[in-house]
Amino acid sequence: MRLYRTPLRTGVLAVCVAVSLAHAPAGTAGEAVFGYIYTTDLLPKGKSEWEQWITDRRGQAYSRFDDFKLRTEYEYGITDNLQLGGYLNYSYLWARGNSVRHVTEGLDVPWNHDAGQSYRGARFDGVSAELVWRVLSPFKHPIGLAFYLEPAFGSRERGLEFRTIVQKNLLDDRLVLAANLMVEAEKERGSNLVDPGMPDDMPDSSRHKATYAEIDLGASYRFASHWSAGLELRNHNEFDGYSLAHSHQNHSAFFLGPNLHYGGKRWFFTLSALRQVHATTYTRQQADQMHSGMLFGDEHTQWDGLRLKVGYSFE
Amino acid sequence: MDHRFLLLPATALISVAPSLHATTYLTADQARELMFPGRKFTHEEVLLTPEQVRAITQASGIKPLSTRLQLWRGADGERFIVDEVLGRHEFITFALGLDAAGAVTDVEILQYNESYGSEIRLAAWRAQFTGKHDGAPLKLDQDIQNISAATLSCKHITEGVKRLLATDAIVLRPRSA
Repeated sequence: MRLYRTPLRTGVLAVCVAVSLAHAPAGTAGEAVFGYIYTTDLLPKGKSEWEQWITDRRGQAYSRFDDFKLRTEYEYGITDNLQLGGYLNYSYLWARGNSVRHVTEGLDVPWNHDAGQSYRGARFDGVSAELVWRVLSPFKHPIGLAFYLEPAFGSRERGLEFRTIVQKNLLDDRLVLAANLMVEAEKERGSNLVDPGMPDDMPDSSRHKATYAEIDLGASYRFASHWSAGLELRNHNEFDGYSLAHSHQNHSAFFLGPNLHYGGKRWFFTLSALRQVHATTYTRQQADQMHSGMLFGDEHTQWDGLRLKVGYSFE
Repeated sequence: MDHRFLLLPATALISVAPSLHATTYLTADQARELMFPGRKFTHEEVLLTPEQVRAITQASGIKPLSTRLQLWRGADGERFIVDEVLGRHEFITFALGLDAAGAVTDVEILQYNESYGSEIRLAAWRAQFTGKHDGAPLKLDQDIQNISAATLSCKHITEGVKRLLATDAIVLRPRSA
């Protein structure tokens, strides 16, 4: 591993500055230097890549909770500025007494599961596709700009995600700053979560409409040949129905953590670990799902999440 | 049975074996012989002073990656320099040939290790540098055309040539005179 001699201290300082700026309330396409944040880096025309994501959404209020989200992806460069991808999404959940009521319920536990029993189960979640259009390249323009569209279809969730991706490269392209603005409209089937304020109500298995909005910020510094490290911040907001009005808002949660990236000629891997650092709730039901300053319920985990991405570029 | 999904990524990982390797296209001697066939050269390692680094950075807008420069001088004042620029994952090693007046005679890519972007080795792209002097814009999509699938490599090689032309004007040429 060959370490860079030039402005490492400047790079570290810039990362710190970027992260400190990111504390304001609020993320490869191609080779991903971040776990959660997308960059404007796309595959060249005619090139393709396989990626495998493994995300452990780990830890809720009590006992055990490991929600492994797995995603297998194939990406293809239609042109140098337009990329298409397809995903298979599947998951494995191991939960036991995880919720604020200290029973097995909530996030991804089937709505008809007995909350008194532990749960282990695998599930095929569905398929999704992505289309990324790069308008500006960070190598040629002052900033990089791209737009991302991801429709998803599954038995439990159906949604459409739109993302604006902004990227700024500094220090001879060794420091990558990226910001994503994401909005997703989704129809989602309920879990077996019981409202602690109304414990006699049955869990709701019907699909409900929700809108998610995220502002994601990240900084990644290439500190040696092949190796980059950085920080990522996500601000996740959820709204009832198809609305972004504050009157419909359920909560706002922040996740912060480091990442490490290795990129070789064909292979890359990226590891990121994002911890829930703050949450604000706007409804009584959501407030009841807070524990130790973190929001759980159907929404989040302590580590949200621990993500490994592995990718291989084809000739 | 429940663990079956976890086997999918493991199987996919194992099925595609790693293929990491460095690709050396030319050695420094081979590149020099290509650029200046049959000519005699003398090697020297130039150490840039902090003042020279500052002057090069100011003149070219690009800070040298290293204070050591590998230089070969020809009998008639030609200069041959081997240097590096950042690639996507590793350094790209390239060579620059200059005539006695400081104009570019040729650029060669010696080592390139990236998955995409090796199109910078194409003679047509490298020929764009021929005849460039210190002070030329040397900017992508202005006087140097970009290769869209190799933008980062094009940008960094272009910047590397610009930096070496400034280095030549500030440090190397005065010593030749």
